Amino acid sequence: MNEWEWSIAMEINQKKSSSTLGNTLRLLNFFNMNEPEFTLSELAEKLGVGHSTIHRLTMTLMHEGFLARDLVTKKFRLGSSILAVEKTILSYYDICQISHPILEKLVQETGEAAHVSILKNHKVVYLQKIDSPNYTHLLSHEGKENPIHATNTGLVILAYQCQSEIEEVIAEGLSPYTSHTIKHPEQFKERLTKIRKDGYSYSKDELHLGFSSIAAPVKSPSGKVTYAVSIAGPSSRITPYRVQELSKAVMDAADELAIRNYGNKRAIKI
Amino acid sequence: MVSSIQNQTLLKSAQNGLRILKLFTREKSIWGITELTRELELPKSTVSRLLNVLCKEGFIEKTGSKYRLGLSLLNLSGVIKYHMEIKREAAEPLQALVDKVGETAMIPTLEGEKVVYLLKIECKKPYPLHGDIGENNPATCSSSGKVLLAHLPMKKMEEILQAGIPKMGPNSVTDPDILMNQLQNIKKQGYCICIDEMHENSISISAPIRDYTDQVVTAVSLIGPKDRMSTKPISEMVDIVVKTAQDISYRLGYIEGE
Repeated sequence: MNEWEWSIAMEINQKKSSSTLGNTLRLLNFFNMNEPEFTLSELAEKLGVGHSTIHRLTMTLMHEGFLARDLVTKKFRLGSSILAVEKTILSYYDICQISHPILEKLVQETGEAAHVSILKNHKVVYLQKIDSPNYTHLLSHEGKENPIHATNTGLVILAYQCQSEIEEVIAEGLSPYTSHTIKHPEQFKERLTKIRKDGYSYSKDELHLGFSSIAAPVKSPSGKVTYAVSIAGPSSRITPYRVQELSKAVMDAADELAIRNYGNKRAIKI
Repeated sequence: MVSSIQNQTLLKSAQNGLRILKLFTREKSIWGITELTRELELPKSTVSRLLNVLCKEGFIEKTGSKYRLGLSLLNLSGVIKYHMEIKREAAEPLQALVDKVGETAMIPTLEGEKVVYLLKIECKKPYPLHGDIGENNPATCSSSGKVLLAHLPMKKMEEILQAGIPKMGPNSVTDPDILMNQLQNIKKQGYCICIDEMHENSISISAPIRDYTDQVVTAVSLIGPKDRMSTKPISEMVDIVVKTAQDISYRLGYIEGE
């Protein structure tokens, strides 16, 4: 093999191994709340690879503890190595170290599930969630990503970002999740203006039909917003009639979180 | 066992990528590329390529010139936790058990021939011998592992025993016949006590948890140092562990005698 052939061979080899790791990671991302388990052939089909490749991929993932296989049903589920990294990730976000008691209190006051969220790559991510004592099948969990424009928390954080970021989100398209999701850019901007005026956002059925939520921004002393606090629950409990009372509880929790997170200075009202 | 058979089957670049993810711990949560290169004993160009793929898929993100874990992994751990109804239902009874006995309690599950812990509630004076969340131990020398093994189909049970039984603590059983006998007894009596099997100076007591399908899905495990636990009447502790497991089973929809 001459030098040129050698370099081509190396390049092919490198591409192959990058796509191996890429495939491995994509395989992990197949698992979600609605599909927590897969058979070997389901995984092969989803990834578009052959039997021997999927066999070796799943073996490798099991070896490192990222997948586990049920001994009886033979189905694959996510493994404990993933559970182990959760604490590492949350340790990057100082707010997670202090938000727990504040969310607990909010859950007690409102009876609904409470979250702290951030924006990441134009998605809303729940960093922490505390469940409601009134059991409801809420479609949220820590780390769950949702589109900004269809979630209250997303809108609340976005309302305080610079104009260019708002335009970027609009440019990406306001795809509807329910018939209640805002579709028109003008309406969308009006909504953000209203959020800045009210200091909270109430939404009904925007992401999932039958569910409502109330969110408020966690403002730094300079008025910067990185996090939002929210509650969510069935629209039969979070009714328009209760919005005033509930939004006060959510805003109080967000303010308390701001004070604890950014020091004693009260957040400036913008 | 797994590691020896499949070393040739494993995909090196996938394995190295996953190994990178596992290096990020609470103690060392941010890594630079040079540190990773040294730790993994791989060429820098390889590590750099793996990091690029990990970043692209959101498993790792850049922070300044270094790297930290990305939120993709938080999403996946959320998926695991969401599906752990067991964990939700077990938290309260498990806490009551810890309060009553003053020792650490855990909820285990089997991953192959290993036992890992899904939930752990520490007592006021924890003793540094217990498995941590995400850590794994050989199932054959822990009471929780034995309870779970005891309720597997016979064929599975045999497979695991044949794969080899590691020696851990001074009392750990390594003879497959003796172990098989023990497992059958555990299944009959409905609990398991291990003394000095995983570590020296350790006692653990476990009882199975069933769900609405009548199957054993997990277990309650009480663990503590022998010198402290042996001052309490063991039969009383067994009763409390069995009762806690029953309590959690009922919460999961198990109906006795069906």
